[in-house]
Amino acid sequence: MLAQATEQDVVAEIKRFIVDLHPDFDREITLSSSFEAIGLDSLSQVDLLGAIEQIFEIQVPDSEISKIAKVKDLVGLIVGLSSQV
Amino acid sequence: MVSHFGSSLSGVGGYRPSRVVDNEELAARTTVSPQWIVERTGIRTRHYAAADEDVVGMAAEAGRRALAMAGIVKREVDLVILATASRRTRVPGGAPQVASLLGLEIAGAFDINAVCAGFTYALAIASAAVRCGDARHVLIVASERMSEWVRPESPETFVIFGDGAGAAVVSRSAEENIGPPVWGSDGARAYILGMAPGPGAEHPIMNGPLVYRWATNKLPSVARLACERAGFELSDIAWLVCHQANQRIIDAVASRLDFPAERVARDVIDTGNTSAASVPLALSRLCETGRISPGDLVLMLGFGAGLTFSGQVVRMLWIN
Repeated sequence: MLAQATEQDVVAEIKRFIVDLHPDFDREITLSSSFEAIGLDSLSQVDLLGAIEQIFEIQVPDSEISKIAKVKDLVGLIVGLSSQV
Repeated sequence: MVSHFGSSLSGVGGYRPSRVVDNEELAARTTVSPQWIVERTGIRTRHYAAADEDVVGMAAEAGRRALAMAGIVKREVDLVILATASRRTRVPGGAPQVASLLGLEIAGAFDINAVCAGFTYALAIASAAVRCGDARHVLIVASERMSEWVRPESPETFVIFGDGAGAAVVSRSAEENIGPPVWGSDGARAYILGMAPGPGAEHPIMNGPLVYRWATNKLPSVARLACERAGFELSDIAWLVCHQANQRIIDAVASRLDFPAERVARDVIDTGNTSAASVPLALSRLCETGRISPGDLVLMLGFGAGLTFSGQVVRMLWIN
């Protein structure tokens, strides 16, 4: 079992995912960045979520997905769920 | 007494209405841009039926083409199954009229509604009827007139759907060429794809991200199990024909299966999402364009509202 995810862990995985998808991506990603603004549309956000779920061995309920718009939304959700594992 | 025969696909046919609708035309009527439509769905055009192209008429034309390819005697067609979710008339069903229009005088006929998975469900039922000896040939037709239901205030569904019909003939054969279905449902997620209620305002709505999440998580395991139950490896499959819901879903499923991108049907690009008709339309286009060779294995994956899904492997015996 993985150790509890930290904010830094989740942000690092988000950055890794975006660079994999857009190798030329060179902008700063902050907690207040919106996923749409950094080039992840709603379906790419689902792909990101799936990757994060695998990495941190958690399952995000469907009901939470519509609440994710900014990096901080996803980070808070993952850190919270990870602490319950 | 139950007899046991093999079952095969002996013909396929498609019907696309002549009116082609591009993204610019739809974008002018709703709140998303042509670029948004292409990026989110991969769809560039779809076909809309004219006033005189109803579900039954389109089904009959697709069925006529499939029967012509099969080259069978009409009086040996024992059953007609019409898969549709968009026919406004619920009673009577449309299948008997399809049978009559095609001169299939002795055939039993009924409709099914498994929404976008309807064709793959009909294929499984037809194959079972043939294998157990209850039918010599079964005509299965999927026909949809989605343009009649979509509304611009729901752009996610307004821009994806199109009209059309696809058909196939399932025939008795010495060998078994239609694999067992892997089917299932998830009614707990019925809310992510369905019809918005309201007199005169009923129209399709969906939560696109949740449909994408469910489909891309579920279908790879269905695909692998369908191959296993048919006695094949995924690497034996020549063509992957998914329900043509959205190119992003199709590509994501293929990617998760490590399936070669050039062996994936993408009829969705210029036909849009034709609900139950999409799998046979994609299959018939592969045949019409000579991309299927005799003996090719095709993995079909139907999925849609309900939620419903069904997959099976079919060995194609002919080329157009």
